[in-house]
Amino acid sequence: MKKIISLIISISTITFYSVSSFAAGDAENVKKLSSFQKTGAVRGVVIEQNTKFAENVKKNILPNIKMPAGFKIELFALAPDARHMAVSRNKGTVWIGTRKTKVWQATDRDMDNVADTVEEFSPSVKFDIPNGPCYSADGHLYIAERNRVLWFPAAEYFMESPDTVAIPIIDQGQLIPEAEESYNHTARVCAIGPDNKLYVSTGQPFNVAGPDKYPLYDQVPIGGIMRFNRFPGDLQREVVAIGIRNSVGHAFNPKDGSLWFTDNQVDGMGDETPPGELNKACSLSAKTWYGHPYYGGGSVRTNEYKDKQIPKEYADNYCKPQVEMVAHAADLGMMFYTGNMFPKKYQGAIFSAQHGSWNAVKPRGARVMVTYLDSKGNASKTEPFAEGWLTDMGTYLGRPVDVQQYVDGSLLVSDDKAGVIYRITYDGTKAAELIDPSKTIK
Amino acid sequence: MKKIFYFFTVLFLTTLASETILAKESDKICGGGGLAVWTKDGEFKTVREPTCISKSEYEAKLNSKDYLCNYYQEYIWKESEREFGKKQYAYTEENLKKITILKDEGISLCKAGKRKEGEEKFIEAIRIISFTPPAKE
Repeated sequence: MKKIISLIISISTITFYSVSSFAAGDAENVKKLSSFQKTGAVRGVVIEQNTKFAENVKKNILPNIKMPAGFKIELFALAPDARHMAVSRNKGTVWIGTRKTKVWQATDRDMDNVADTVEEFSPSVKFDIPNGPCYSADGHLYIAERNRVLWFPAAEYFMESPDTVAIPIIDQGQLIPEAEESYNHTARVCAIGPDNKLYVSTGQPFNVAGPDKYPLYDQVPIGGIMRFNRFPGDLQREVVAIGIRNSVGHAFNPKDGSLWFTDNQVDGMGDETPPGELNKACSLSAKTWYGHPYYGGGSVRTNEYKDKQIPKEYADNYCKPQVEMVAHAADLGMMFYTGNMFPKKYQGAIFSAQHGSWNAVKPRGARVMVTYLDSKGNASKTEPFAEGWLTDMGTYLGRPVDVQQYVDGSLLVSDDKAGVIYRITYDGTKAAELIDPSKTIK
Repeated sequence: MKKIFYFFTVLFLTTLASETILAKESDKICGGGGLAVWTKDGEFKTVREPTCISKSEYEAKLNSKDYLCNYYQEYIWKESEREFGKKQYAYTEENLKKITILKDEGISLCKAGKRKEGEEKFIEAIRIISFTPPAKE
C-alpha cells in the first residue's frame, strides 16, 4: 500500500511539475520526457570504439604515463570532450559530461572492464555545457549545466532508449541570473551530500570581479557552492560557500562528511603565483568565505584588491585552503578513494586531476595528484600520482579533467584533449615483482 | 695496446658528450608555440617546435628586476590588444583607451628605472581588464 501511495505521489509530482514550469529552449521536449511521452527521438551519436584512434592512444599516450609500482593504465573508452564523470552502481555505466552539448554513456557489456558501447545519452535534450553529471546511491542521475540542473530518475533503465525521463530540478536560467551567464567559468559540477541534498558549484565569470558584483554573487551564489533538495517541490535552496573563484571539483569525505573542493586561481599575477587550492569546508553556511576576490590563491592578495581592507564579515568567516597547489595547474575534478583495489595508503585519500596550465611559460599540471589525510581528516601530504601527459617539449598528450572510482575499485580518469577515459588498476603481485624480482610468480 | 686505449678514450668521450646533451635536453623548459598532431599514419608528431629556454634562464627571468614590468605588459597585450584576447571581453572604447594609456605610462616608468611606479600603472590597467565582463557569445 505504501508503495502505491509513494508511486502516486511521485507521478503526481512529476505531472504537476511538468505542466507548471519549463523554461525556454527545449522546454516542450523536456516536458514530454518528464510526462513519459515519446519525443520521436532516434538513437543518438555512437562513438566507435575499435578504431585506429584507440590504437594510437594505446601506442602514443599510455606508455608515457608514469605511476607508482604495480599500477597500470589502460584505455576504458573513447569519449570526445570527456569532462566530469558519474558511475552508476549496478550496471557500471559511466556518464560523461562535456563542455559542449552532449553527455555520453559508456558501458562495459562483456565485463572485461573496457566500455563496449559509448553513445549519446538522452539525445533529444538540448544540453548547454552539460559538464557535471553526478549519481546518487539510490539510482538517480543529475546533470549540472551552465544554467540548469536536470534530474534523470532510473537513468540506468531508461538509458537504453533514446527517450529518458528528464525533469528540471533547477529550470533553465534559474541556477544563476541569466544576465550573469557567460562562456567563462561555466563548467558546473555536482555531488550528493550526506544530508541527501544536491551540491552544485558555480564559478564566477571574471578573472577577478569588481566589488559591485559581490552583493549579488554572494547571494546566488556565483563564485560559491549551493545546495538544494534533489527532488522537485520546495528546493530549500541555500548558499553553503562563498568567496570561491572557480571550483570545478568537489566531493564529500565519506568518513566525516566534510565537503572538499578544488579552486582555480587568479591569472595575470605572475608565472608562479598565486597557488591553486584544495579546500575543506570549515562549515556549510552562506557566510563561510574562501578568500576570493581579496585573496588570489592561498595567502596571496590579488592586485585588484590589495589596497582594500577585507570586510569584517568576510575576515571573521575566512576558511583557509588545506593544500596550496602549484600555480596555474588548473586543479579540477576530485574524489575520495573508498575502494579495496589500491594499497592501504591510498584508502581514504583524495585523488584530484590537474588539467594543466594555459598561459604559463613553464607548462605544468596535466597529471593526477593524491592527497593523504591525517587522523583528524586534514590534508597531510600531496604528491603526483600519475603523470606524463605533458611532454618535455611542452606538448600535451592529454589533459586530465576528472577522477572517479569505478565499480571494481579502479580509478577512471577523463581527458578532454585526447577525448578518452583511462582506467588505472593496481596489481599487488606486479608491484612485489618490481620491488623484488625473486617474488615473480612462475 | 694503443688500439684498446683509443677505443676506451673514444667510448669515454662519446658517453660524456651524449650525457651532456641529455642533461641539457632535460634542463629545458618548453612552452608556447609547439604543436603536435596525429598524422594519417597514426603518429603523434611534433609539427612545430616549441620555444624552449633553460631552467637557469627561466629562474633568471623570474628573479629579474624587470620581471613584473615585462609580465604585466605581456598580460595586458594578451588580454586587451591581441585580437583573440580582446574578443573575450565586453570592452568599451573608453576602457580600451584607458588601458592603452596606463600601459604606455607603465612602459615609460619601467624604462626609466621606476619599476614600482610602472608596475602600479600596469596593475591599474589589469584591474580594468579583470573587472570587464566576458563578451556575450
